[in-house]
Amino acid sequence: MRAAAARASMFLATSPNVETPCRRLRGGVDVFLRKIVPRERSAFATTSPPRRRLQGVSTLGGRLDARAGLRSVVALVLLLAVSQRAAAAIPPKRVVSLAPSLTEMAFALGAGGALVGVTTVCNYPAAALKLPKIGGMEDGGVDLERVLALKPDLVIAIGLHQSSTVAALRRLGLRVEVVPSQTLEDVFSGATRLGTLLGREAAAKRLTADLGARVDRVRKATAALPRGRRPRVFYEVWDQPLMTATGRTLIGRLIDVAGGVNVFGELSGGYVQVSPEAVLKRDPEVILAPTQHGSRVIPENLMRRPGLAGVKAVRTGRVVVLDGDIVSRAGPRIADALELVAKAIHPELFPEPVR
Amino acid sequence: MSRRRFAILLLGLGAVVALAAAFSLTVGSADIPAGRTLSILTSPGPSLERTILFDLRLPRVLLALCVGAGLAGAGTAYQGLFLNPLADPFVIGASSGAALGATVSILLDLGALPFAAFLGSLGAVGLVYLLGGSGGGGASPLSLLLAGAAVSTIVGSLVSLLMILNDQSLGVIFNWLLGGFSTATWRELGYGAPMVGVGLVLLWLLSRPLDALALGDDTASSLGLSVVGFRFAIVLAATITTAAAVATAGIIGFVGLVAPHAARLIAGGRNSRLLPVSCLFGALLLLLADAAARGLASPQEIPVSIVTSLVGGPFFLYLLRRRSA
Amino acid sequence: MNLVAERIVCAYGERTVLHDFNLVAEPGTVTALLGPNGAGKSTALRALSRLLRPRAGKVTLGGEDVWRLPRRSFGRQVAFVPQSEAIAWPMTVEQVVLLGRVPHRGWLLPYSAEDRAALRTALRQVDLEDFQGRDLDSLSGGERRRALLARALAQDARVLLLDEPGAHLDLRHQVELFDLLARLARERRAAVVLSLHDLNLASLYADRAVLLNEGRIVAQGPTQEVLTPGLLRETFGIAVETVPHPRCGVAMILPVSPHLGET
Repeated sequence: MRAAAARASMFLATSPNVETPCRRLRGGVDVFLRKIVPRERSAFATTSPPRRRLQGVSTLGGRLDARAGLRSVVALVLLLAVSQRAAAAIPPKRVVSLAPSLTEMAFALGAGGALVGVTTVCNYPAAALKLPKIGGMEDGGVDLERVLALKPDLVIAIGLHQSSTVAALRRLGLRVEVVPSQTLEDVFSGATRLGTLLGREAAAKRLTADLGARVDRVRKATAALPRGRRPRVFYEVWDQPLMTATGRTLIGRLIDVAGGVNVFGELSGGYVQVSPEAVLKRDPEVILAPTQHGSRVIPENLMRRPGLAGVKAVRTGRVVVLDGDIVSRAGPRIADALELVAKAIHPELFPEPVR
Repeated sequence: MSRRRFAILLLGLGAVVALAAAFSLTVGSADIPAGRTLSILTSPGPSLERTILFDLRLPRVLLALCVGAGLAGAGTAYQGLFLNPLADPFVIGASSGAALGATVSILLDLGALPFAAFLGSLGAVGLVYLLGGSGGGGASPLSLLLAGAAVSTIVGSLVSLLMILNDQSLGVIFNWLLGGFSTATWRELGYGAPMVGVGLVLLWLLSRPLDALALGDDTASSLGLSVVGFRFAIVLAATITTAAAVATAGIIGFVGLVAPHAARLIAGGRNSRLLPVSCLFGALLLLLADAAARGLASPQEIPVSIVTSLVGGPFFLYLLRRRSA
Repeated sequence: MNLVAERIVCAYGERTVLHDFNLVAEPGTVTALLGPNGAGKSTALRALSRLLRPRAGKVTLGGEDVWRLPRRSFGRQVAFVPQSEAIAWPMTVEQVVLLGRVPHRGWLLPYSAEDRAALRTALRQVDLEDFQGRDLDSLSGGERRRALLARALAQDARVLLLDEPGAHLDLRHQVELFDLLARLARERRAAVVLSLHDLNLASLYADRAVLLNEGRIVAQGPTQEVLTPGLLRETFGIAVETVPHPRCGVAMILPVSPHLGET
């Protein structure tokens, strides 16, 4: 605890952004402290000779008597609390993003200019492609040296499969904030959190309101649909082996909100392998696929696969290819994704083209 | 070879390893000029370059050294114990056990991945030892190898099953399995180095029993050595070393197989000499492999075991040709 | 310190290979175990050298059950030379012979000057002094056998047990080996027990002989009393004739085949 506090203080003391306000802070805290723990009327008064003035964090290592000890603890707590606020009050100028959804969100909040490093899979918007790359996004794929070399004052991560990287970066003294980005709800909470972290609260409010309105529109339009009017949907991730997404995935959730019934929605796990017979048995009325797999789900190919020709979706030609990135990232384009899915499943309810 | 010449050989090899380590320090995606590396390390003030060198590259290089030495030492011991030139440190289940531990840790997001991998490794070898020792023959080399093959296959399949059922973690698990030093910091070194060191020292102390066991159980027994006891001790020491290496760096193949063969060409079969030379070769091989893994496709890192296989494979063929010549 | 086998019964799994075997390895004598293949000679030697635990009966050294003795202590007094040894890795003669000092030195401490002196003596006795640094697999079969014998000698044991020490050696090396063994028995009062196929060598060098067949002792006693045509025919199933050796008078065994004399 003390070690962590000491390191935090040292980091704050040497970090370029907070140095000046920190020093001023320390001076003010010291004055404040002497008011609450005055030497003369200390509760821990002993007969020992009076101690030197508290020097803020530098006396941490030395031996303190109870009085000075209490003062230094209080000083630290206050310092940490206040400097955290101080750091937050100044938006970070050099941000490294460890996930594409967070990169997109940062740009959507108008903070794209603060980004100095992104992953190799951050491909939207176009400006992100020009930013320096720090490697992949998962543990073992991130190049720590590159991250350090960019001298970020904030690193944003999604946490999932990044625990070693996050821990290592923190050990190296960097500030890392974990913003979960898995579910539909995470989009909204993540936007708000990023807004606070990047100093774009107003933009975040606008974004969440806008996204929320669009999502609600889709939800309201499909909520009232009885079960009979919810088409059976099959989402094909890949054909060999045959893989689909269950209800636990983001796309699975989108299908549900968009008024469809995922034929494999009740399975556990995320992206799972299923047998072609199971697909035949469930006779989906709509087949969706991501763009990465798009070339293989064109109707001619589907007709050639054994048995699939008889499936309703193939017979009626309702096979839709969706942008694979937006339906798998819990980011600002989630409303676009939802609208795309809704249009694919209920073209009659959402006739207007999606932006 | 006289004692004096051997000492010179060790010193020479040690110098080569030190040079390789220094070279490895200069490799990395951050642009730090090679000539200034030493001055940056020794200058007192905090600087970005110093942080990169001291907090990232140095522990990584040292860990590669330790893991390379550990795998080579364990490989030497197993080749001697099983009288099999194809034995490597993973032959009785250490790698699959570590993979299971790591996979469980990743899936449950426990965070203490090295510990889980270490325990998994020890557990699997313990199971192999129990299974190999039951039945008539006692824990003979053959029964250990057979039990090891069985346990490795079963545990490996369990790992694959877990990976398939939790495909979103596939990438992370796979990356770990392929081995690497990309998140190595002083903390990993602090876990791995002492255990590897303890294991290697134990193995070196057990050199003479290892020599005797290589001549056959009967011979060893008639010379007054407890075959069962020493075999257990050697397996334990080698497994501690392997488990620590795998827990901190993933599964890196070929080092434990190739280094002993290379060492045997210049140090002969006596384990008290073979072990140190083998460890130095292993350290050298892994240092260079790690530098290549980092430097060849920056900022992407090639998993280390791919590099060791690509380098180790042809080197192994070369050694085979020298043997038959 | 006599090595004695008292009514031992040995078996591998379900198969009993040695019944009711008795032997006293007397100091100063060479005892030969003779018999057809599978008679139990190797088994008897392994039981005597504490490598195979008898199902019944006991093996004692100086009156103490050998399985109660610490392995090292036993190793200092009894040395076993196997017929062959797997050499997986290149080892030098010096390393292999020095291992004979393990019962004395232990497994951890470095070898001392005393150990190296024993090494040199042993190598001299088997005439391998110049071979000290050579790799074992570069030696001929006979030289390798002599190296293993040197290891047993380095053990400085009072009892030497050898499994077919003469096999695959040419005549000269056979004679040299047995001369050496006889000398060891005589000069150092060692007890030498060995198994062999060559009955004539047994006749020339062994003081006592044990004739085994199918795990049982057919006859046991002074060699000349055991190597008689009747007992040999009973054991080996062929007819033999014995003639006295022109120089020393011991029996030389000559096989008699029904087809002899045919052209």
